Amino acid sequence: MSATASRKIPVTVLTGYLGAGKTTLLNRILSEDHGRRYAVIVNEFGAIGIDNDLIVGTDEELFEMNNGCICCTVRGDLIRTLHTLLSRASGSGKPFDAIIVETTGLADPGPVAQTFFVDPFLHSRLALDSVTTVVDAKHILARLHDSREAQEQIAFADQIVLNKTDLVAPEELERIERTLGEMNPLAPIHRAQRSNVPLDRVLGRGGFDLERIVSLEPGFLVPAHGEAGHVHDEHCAHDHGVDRASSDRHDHNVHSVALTSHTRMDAQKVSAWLAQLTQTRGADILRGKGIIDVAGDDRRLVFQSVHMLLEGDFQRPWKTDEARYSRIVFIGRHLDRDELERGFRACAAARSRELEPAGAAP
Amino acid sequence: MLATFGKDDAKLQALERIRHWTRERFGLGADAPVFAAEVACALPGCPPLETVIGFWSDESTRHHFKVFKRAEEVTQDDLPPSWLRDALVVTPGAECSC
Repeated sequence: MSATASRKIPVTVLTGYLGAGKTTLLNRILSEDHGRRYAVIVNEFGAIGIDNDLIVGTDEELFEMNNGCICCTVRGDLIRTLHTLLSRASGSGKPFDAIIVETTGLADPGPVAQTFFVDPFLHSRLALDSVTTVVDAKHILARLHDSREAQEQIAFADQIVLNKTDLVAPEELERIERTLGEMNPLAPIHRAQRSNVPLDRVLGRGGFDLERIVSLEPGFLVPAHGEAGHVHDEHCAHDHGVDRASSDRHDHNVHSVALTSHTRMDAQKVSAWLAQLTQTRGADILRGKGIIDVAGDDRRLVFQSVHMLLEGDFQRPWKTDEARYSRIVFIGRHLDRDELERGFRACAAARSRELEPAGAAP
Repeated sequence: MLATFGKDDAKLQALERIRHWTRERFGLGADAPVFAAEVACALPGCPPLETVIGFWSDESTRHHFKVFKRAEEVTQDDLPPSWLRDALVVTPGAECSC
């Protein structure tokens, strides 16, 4: 997938609540001397060219392919604008190096992300590089309490730019990071003031490239502290004083469930379970990612999901000195840990179950 | 085994064919945005797979129709007649569940 993805035009989605600093970050990307030609899609703007770049305005238009089904909802304005951009770029012989989509502060990023996977025309030409969520450190906890959109923006993030950190005390920052980390343990958090995050950390992330998923979240997709196979490093939560009891979990209803098993899995069973789970619970399971240790195969099975959209494939073999394990994270609403864990454990390979005790752990 | 977000060549060719027929049927220019996708429908009573087609006749006018078949099974006869073009316009907030 990465070879194909490298030929596609990367798309960065910039999202975040009103006043978080999205436009400041966008201006930095466009004004920095990077020599790249961007197409930028923003809301409520005309079509203008700035130097090499093109800025196109759209009005948010939800395209419900099945009435009321969020999993079947894409952004019509993006489809129309991107089809037109690609057609013009192809005709002019001047393709864009990258595309940036800046959403409104009240946008649900789900339909934005799904647009790039549901439309085969766009999927074959564009690669969603990341959903980057800019967060106002001063106000995010209040917004998570009263805004569904703010919660969704955190849930869908591949990375979070925690902006305006100069406006809050250090202990408050740690509390915010704990809360964001519990909601979305897959997204690294970059602290910033006036959106001054290094751009090489924001762009070219490959957040939806299946081959890069495991390397993107080294701190999460390994067993947790206290579990077999855990490695003490900078990603180890206890080194950072993470105290789950003191976070703001009850202020929001988007949360994550992480499951670990040291029992080898049956590839067919785990595939069927994930497919059934995303089809029946896809409205609530906003994002999913995981790495599976499959019985009878030395390669790692990796998957990701966005609502009902699911993809997975075998990746590189496990190294001989590497602890083998399976680890899955789901981010969403109304997630029933016990139900998910039962389903996960039921995917154990028959021989593994005879030989080893079930190893699913929180 | 798990699928991928991408479609196989046969599916992509079928969807490209449907986009081409849609342009022809409704007299759309080569640059007019036309969307065609096969979606799995989980709603009660829906066929498991259906093909959704949308196109824009101008920036604010989206037309939308469905064929309750897999993309590879869709034929030109499954597309609505050209004189139904205006009836396919989506009125915001009044989309049907069919």
